[in-house]
Amino acid sequence: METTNYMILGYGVIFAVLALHLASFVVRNRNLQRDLEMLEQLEKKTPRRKPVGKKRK
Amino acid sequence: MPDQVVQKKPRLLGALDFASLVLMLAATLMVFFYAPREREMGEVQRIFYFHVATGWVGMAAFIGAAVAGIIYLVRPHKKWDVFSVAAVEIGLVYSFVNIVTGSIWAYPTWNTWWTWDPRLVTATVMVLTFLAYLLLRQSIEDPERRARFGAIYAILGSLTVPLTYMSIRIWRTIHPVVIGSGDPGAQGTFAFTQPMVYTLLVSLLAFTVLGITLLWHRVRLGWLADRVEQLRLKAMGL
Repeated sequence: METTNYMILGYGVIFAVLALHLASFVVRNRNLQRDLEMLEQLEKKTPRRKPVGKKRK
Repeated sequence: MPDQVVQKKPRLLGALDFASLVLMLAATLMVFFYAPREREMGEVQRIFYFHVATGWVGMAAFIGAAVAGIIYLVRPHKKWDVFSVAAVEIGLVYSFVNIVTGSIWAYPTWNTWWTWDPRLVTATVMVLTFLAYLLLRQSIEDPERRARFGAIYAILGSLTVPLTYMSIRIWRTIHPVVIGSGDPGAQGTFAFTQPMVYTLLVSLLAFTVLGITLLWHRVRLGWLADRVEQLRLKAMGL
């Protein structure tokens, strides 16, 4: 029986899904690293707030 | 979560990356150039090696998520919740590949893309159950409550794994059984030769190592997301 096309389709799906999953790791990691850098810079720039509800003597 | 863990990639993870690449390459070469062509089904039978391997990793990942859920309920720590989510994601990707490749293999063998066979149904129920796990998590805002519900759900959801595994052994089915004896009416069975066994074993090893490697990367991604979330809440003054 000639079933080569189905084999190609099957392995095409396997490698495509695995490649997409790996690519999603790279994209998510890049976005999170960018957010982390931005938030860390923001934290350095922003002066510390005094705790709410405490009055100065 | 420790910051240095988020930033620096461990050496062992680097070694696992390399091992995954080498093993996947070896498995692929064995599938195409070492394993013999099956006489009746032809080339499509070669799907079998990666179809079984992805099915195994998918199920193992769901069981891993349930084990992490049990540990979380006993000793609540964020790291077990992160692990559980990572394992479910890996399980979903691999199980999805398993079902799709099964369907592609089924068409020339069973003459249909899909049939309401016990194995196909239980495998689909398993995937949908864990897809619902991700949806459930998104609907809960409180992190502790989300983790607790997630843990309970993962434990209950993992019951679909033995059900899927056993479905071809306890019900009448056309799906062949790889380990043990199956239904005499199963279609797509074939006689194993030695090269076929070796190719299957290498494929199982390759996908297991790849699964562990991806799980570790996904856990690190979860830690990073958690760190970002903490800083964001801090910036908002919460």
